[in-house]
Amino acid sequence: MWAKTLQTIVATVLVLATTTGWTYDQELAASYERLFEPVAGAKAGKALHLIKPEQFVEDLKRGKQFVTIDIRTLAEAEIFTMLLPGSLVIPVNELFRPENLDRLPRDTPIVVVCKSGTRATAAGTGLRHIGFNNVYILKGGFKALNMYLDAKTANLPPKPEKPKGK
Amino acid sequence: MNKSLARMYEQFFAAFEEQKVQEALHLLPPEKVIEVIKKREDVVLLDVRTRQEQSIIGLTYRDSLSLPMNEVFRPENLAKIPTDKKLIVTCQSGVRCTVIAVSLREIGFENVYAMKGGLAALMAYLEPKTAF
Repeated sequence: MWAKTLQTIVATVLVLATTTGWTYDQELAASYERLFEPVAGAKAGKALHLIKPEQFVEDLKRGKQFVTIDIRTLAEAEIFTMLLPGSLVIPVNELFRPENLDRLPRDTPIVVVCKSGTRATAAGTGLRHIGFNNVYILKGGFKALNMYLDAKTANLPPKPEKPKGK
Repeated sequence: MNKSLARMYEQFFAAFEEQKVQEALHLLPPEKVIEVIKKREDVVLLDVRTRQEQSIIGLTYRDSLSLPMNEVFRPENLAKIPTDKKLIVTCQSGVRCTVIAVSLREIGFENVYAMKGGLAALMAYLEPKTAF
């Protein structure tokens, strides 16, 4: 721990000494590099932990448990939100407070939801960055989920699961 | 054919002239719905989607009703519909709620409106800026 901190300080001082004075946080940069390393090619979305509405609804119909977090402002969430059992409403500007992070489950997949998926992608990636590996982001947000979720898709039995690896 | 019902529809749709369709159909676009809510007007929202749909995404507005379309016209459910305030019916995309709103008006509920474009339009409109 101390050796690592010392190493960082030395590296930072060296960088400071050899440049115009500005530097970025190299340790944090390295953690982002690791976080985004798998986000490449056709699997980029999956590596970002995006879940499509269809997958989400099919999983729900198969009985899979999720805890959703609606991270929109309270004014937005006071009109409509996710109604699944255990679903949370925590505005993004309060999400990272310790007492709110304590409310997030570690053993159940978390799905972060917003209007169109943009805020959720930022917030969800932040949660994964600090160690919540079980966090997914609803791609396209409420708009896309509602587009997919109709009388038919909500009420038909779940589709047979594809074999793994396909 | 039921001629008296046909006459009723004839009268109802007679108002559907060009430029007046939205008004005649009692369609409220999302911005109007949010405006009414923000003004704290006494308004009830009714979601007529199936239970399964509502179990995933649903209304949280303080004064809202949930009645799947096929159950709305049961006497015990009609009894839940307010007659002293505005009712705005919603659904996924604005189709089912328009049908229900028109039908409720046909049987005598006057202060009934449909959310134009349903939740899809509401979701496209509602954001931090417009919600606050």
